[in-house]
Amino acid sequence: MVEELLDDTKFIVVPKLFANQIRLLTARLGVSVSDFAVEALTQAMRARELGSDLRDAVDMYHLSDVQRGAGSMMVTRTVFGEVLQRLHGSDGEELHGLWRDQGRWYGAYLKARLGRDQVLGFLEKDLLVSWNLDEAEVAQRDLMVSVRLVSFGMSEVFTGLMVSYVAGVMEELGLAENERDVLPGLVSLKFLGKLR
Amino acid sequence: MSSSRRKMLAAQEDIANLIAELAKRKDMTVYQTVNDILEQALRVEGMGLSLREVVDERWMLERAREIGLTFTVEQLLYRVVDEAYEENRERTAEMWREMGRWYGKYFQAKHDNPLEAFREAMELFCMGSAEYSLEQNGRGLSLSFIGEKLTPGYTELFSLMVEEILLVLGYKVKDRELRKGMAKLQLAR
Repeated sequence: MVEELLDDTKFIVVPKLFANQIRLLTARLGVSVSDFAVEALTQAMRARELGSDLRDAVDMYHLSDVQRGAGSMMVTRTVFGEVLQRLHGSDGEELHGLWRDQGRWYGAYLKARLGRDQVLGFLEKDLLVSWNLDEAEVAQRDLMVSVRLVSFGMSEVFTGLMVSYVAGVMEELGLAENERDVLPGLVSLKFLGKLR
Repeated sequence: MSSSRRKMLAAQEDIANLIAELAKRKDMTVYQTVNDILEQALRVEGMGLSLREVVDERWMLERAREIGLTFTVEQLLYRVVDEAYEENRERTAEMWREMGRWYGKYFQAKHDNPLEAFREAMELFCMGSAEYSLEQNGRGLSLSFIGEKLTPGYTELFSLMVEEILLVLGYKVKDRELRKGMAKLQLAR
């Protein structure tokens, strides 16, 4: 797919649709097609250094942007975990209530920002990154939504708060909890949607 | 695919070779690889961003993961941290100092320029919640962070962590000013 033309130039085959879009875009940006392609490739290589690719980088940007829009910030997991562990002893119920309410708020925010149909698809990667999980799966089959979350190092307290949070998000999406199987760092939840 | 649906894009030889190399590494055809890159480049431009910004952010998130940071809701964080601080000031303060010592030693061990690593970490700690400024003047440092929602308890504890990081890196606090929503530190070697 790469054909030689001159000594220092090659032709790359691209879909016509992209070629036209790129021409229009580069004209608007005032850069050459070649400069645009070089920059795109340079960034693709930088993403590659992370063991990632551009698609993942764009998805992660979107995710981080949504998180920030929802009032999230970065915190040290260790300190946060210890603080929660200590408070949980005296205020466990209140903490679960707070996380559930926050989940509901986030569910409403995601619906408003992404549209109801996009929320579950977004949530899988969102939970994976924002709760620093090893695995996350959010699958919908007819009216049933299954959530499976795995973290090898998550404490019992943190796991419980994550479950409250997810339950809050689902409640806001109109899904009722149907099944719950929770061990520290291992969560399986099933939710049922309401018939319209 | 018929040729009427494809076009040729002229590229410098080294770029074309890099694409071919990338395709080989990803076990994809050159056509698929170019497709993928251009599709994402157009998607990003459509979002009003540049690919460089997007990849920079990806690097930031990777660093955040490396140093054990996680996303949490700002207001929840302040609330639980303030509550814990109220409940047991000394123990909570020691927890944050200890974390600061850990970070200080980590930056020293992992980076040729630990102060630069600290600066990058500050960017992550303050992302979405506060603005910070770090200035080096001779043998001294001025550090401030300001955020309208920062609570007094969180400001104090965060400041303790930062002071401890900088102590490990050889800077001692000479002057400290903590107010609601802001902290200013003067440090010297």
